[in-house]
Amino acid sequence: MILLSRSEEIVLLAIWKLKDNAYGVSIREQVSKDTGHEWSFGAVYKPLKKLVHNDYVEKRSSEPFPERGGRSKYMYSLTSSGKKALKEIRKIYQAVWTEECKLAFD
Amino acid sequence: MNPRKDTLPFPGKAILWFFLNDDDYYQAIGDFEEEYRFKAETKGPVRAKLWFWFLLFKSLPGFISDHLYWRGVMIKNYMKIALRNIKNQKGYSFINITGLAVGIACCLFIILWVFDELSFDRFHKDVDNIYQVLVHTDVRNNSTSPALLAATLKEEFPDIEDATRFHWFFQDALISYKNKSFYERRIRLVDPSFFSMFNFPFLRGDPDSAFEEPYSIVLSKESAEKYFPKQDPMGKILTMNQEHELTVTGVIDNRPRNSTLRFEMLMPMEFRVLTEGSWYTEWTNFFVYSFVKLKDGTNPESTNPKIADVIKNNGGRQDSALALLPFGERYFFFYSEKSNIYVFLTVAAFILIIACFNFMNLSTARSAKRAKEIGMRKVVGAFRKHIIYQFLGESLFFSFTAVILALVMVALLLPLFNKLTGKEILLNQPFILLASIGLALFTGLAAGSYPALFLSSFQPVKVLTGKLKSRAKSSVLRKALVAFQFTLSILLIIGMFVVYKQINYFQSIGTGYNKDHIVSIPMGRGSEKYFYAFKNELQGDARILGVTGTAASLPYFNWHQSGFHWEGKDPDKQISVSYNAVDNDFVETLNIRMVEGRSFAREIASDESASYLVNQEMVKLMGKESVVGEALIHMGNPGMIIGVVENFHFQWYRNQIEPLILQLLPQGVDNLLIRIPPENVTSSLKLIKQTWEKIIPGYPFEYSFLDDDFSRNFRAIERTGGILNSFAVLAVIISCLGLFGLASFAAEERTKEIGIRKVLGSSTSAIVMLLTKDFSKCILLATLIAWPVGYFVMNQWLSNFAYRTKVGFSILIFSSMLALIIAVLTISYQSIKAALANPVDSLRYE
Repeated sequence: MILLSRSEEIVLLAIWKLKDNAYGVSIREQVSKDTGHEWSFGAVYKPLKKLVHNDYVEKRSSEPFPERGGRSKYMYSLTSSGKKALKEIRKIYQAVWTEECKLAFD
Repeated sequence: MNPRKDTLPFPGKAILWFFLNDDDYYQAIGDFEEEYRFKAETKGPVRAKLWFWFLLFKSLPGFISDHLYWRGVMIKNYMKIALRNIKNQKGYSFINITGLAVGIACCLFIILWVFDELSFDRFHKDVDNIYQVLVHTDVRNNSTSPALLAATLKEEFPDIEDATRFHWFFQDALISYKNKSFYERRIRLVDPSFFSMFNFPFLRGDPDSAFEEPYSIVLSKESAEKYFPKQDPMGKILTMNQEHELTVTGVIDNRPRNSTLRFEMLMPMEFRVLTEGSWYTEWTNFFVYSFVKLKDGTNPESTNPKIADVIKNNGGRQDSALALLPFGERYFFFYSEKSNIYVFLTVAAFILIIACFNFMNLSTARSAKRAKEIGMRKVVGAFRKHIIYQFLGESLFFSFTAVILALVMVALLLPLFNKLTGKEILLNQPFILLASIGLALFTGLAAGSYPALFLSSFQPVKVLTGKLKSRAKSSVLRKALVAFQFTLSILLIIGMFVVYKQINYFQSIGTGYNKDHIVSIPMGRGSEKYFYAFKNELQGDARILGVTGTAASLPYFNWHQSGFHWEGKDPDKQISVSYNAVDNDFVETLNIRMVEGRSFAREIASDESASYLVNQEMVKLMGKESVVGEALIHMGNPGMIIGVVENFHFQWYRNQIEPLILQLLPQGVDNLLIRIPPENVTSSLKLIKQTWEKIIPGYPFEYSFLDDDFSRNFRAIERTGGILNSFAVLAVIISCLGLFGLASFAAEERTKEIGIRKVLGSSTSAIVMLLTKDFSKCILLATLIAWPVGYFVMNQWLSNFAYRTKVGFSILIFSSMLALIIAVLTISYQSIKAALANPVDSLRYE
């Protein structure tokens, strides 16, 4: 069973949603939109680094961009174990959030 | 826009560089740059900058916790090495931590003191809208104003929302309840609006209705307990001067410590108007304080010109102009000096700098010990940044330990400090924790940054092959820091000596009258009619040498009078001079010297009220050779000058002696001055007391000695001297702690050299000289810097006093000698120890 921290989970989902365009700025934008409050870069990098370290996400560098002062982006994408982890998380949620729970909170 | 050039502010980039590793830095700077440019284009550069800094600081906790997460092992290692170093070098760590702790404790004390000074009168909610009305005239600036002013201002000017008067009794009032009677000095008279303008906390009673009746009185908690122990004071009747019955309508909490408006009891102004009448309807007399509250948001600058002429327009003095003094500034205007705050903050900064320099010196001096460690760390992959983390972390560890120690010191020594400063400072104030953390961060970073940069610059190849050569350069810097430390210490010592010399000077110039063995007794209202009976009864007894009376008692005359005219005076010019009403024998009892003419004589009936004595300053003011026999007309009443007394100090030494006129007016006497023989003080006092009780029953007998009253005036300056004194001593101690550490290091470093010198025949004294010479040079350099600076600064300080001493070369020399001797003693312990060591021990490993 894979258990990720909440912020790791949110960032992992954001990367999946962003498909080919997942890098620092876009991930920050996506998670801020998903959760409804603004995330700082510090808050994004920390889970991101752990995800890379644990092999759920892989990181490669892109072409340089002028708007980044001539730097390249680090692009992130899910690895197969990252996708597996997402599926598993979903399964766990479905198991944990039974119908009664949903009714009780609606 | 050049795509290759970064637009982010440089300090921001530096912060990012400091907290992130290279890979993360590359990503972060790119991400920040991208969003920053977008923001700058869409919302403008200012908004973009704000956004950047906001987001950067919001990101910092994430960066730091990330850092701690990934580098946990290294941090554990840093801690272990730091603790091991502290344990291995106990003496050095002790010097470092105590030096910092003492320095920080001094700073905390000074911060507490400064906050206390600044907190005066700040507890009133509307303090920023309240002003005291001052009256400037051609002659002098008055803090008092006419009684009608407050109400007039409130009525005529819409800017002014509220106004109150604050007034006092000219004599001590006798307050009694059943058989308990006390003289009360601190009864103040105010208007009902006083309680809505100022926020004095009521324990009993209602501030809105307390003064509905003119015969009411509001007590402080202390005086309520004095008259009604364990009883409910509300509604009880107090008798004033055996005449007026006053109902207690409220009790105020022990007046807040930091208030410039002091009182034990408050009564309605209306009471005075009813009992004294017409006094209070004249625009010519200035004798109440007037306070006004401006409407929220009113600028006093715009109100000032509007009200300036109120007294003039109502037929009062034509040369008067009103001005508003912010109530928050009142403390500094009348009671304290703002310059003291700057002086003490400077002292605090000096001490902190000295303590930080100690830390820097000792850390870099010990660098050889850590050089190999740093080399190894770099070889196995540490960047310079990581060495900086390590050493900054270590110095922060030291500084936080020092702060904890400093807080313990402050808590233990606070009672002593309160005694020294005459304040009642408490430690349970929230800002002290903030200040401590701030000081810890500041000293940790300030003192740690230089060693961290210095140590992290070591090149592993040089260090590990034993070719570390940077020592010569860093030892020059160390000596410069020592010289600077001692410059500051010598400056503080000079300051301390000059303050003491000034105090001694004050005491040595004398008063011009003999203040020893004089008993001073206040006469209550209504008791002045017994004055002659009392005086006659006492005179002739061997236990009494002289009896006299005055209106305003020594050591201060605070009575000014204008309206005197003499021949040759410009009739249009208002001149205000010091004035006092005295009894016969005033000059004789106080042993004031007569310069010319005669003093008052009881036998000559015309002396009473029509004769004047003047002092030498007055003669100067009148501009005549001889003034005896000159006519002096006061308000149309003719009189004559019969004698001139030598100048004597009837005011605080800070002021020049003013022209003084003494008038013989026994019915105006409010204070008795009795000279008694130096032997048998108790029996003389007993006689005075018995006579008092016989002649003036019903009035309590209270007395003080004039020389005690006099020395009370020195307390403020003695306090400043005392505080400066303690801090100067501490500064020297901290400097010496550092010097001691450096000396021991120098001796240790040269162990082999000393061994060889001894083997080759050098004497012990030559070696001691060798080790002492270097540091003595630093102190001599410090002396050269400290002298001109100290001379200039202390001369500035002395120029505040009309009667002042000189800085003097001897003080400069003495201060430096003292510093030099203390420093040499500090060094010589280590030097002698090194010089006496057996060369066999130091050389046997070669």
